[in-house]
Amino acid sequence: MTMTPGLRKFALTAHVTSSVGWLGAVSGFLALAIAGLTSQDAQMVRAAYLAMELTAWFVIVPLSLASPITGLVMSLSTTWGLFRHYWVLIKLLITVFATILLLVHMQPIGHLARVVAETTLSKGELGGLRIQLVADAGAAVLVLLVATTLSVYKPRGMTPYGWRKHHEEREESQP
Amino acid sequence: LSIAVLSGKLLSMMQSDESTPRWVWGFGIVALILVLGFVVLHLTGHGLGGHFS
Repeated sequence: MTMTPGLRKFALTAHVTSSVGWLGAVSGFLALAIAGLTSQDAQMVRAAYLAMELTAWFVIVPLSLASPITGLVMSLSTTWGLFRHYWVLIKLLITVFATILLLVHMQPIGHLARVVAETTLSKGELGGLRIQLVADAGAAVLVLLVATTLSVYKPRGMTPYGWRKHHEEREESQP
Repeated sequence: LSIAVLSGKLLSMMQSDESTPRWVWGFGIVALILVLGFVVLHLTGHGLGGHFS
């Protein structure tokens, strides 16, 4: 699959924007999760968990879907390929894994938002769930930082499939 | 002799351009430990499933 330079730049812009935006949104989510866990102010706790649900549904989930889709388009339309280089393959696995985990964890986020919308959370109430959200958001920030680092450094190393394709292409170009 | 030949072949494979880079092995090992830890936490009831009640 080949793209015109203009289209390729547009796809790259979409991929970088969605990927870095995802990292930024999850960082904001982490700040809200920490505020919800540690604040003594009931209004702050309520606001934090309500904002977390909104952020998750309307910012994080769309970006977490846009990032791998635009990444797939970029990899298949450039010489990098999807399975040729370890850094691309690992980034794909990280992104898919993080998206699945996020979608699985949307249910408890919604549960917490419903609870704070109806009642005032007492100190320590749903403590395990609130700590888990902080831990998950922290882990997500780390994972997305790893993905960003891989994109920038592009560490060397081709997969066995990548080497096979490389040899095939070299043989074809040297009849 | 066969062990020496095999280890020599293994060494040359590891040092060749087509071998899996060390950073991939390190990354894979760390990822495996983290995923196993995550699965164990969830299976032992320390994950999200145990906090709804």
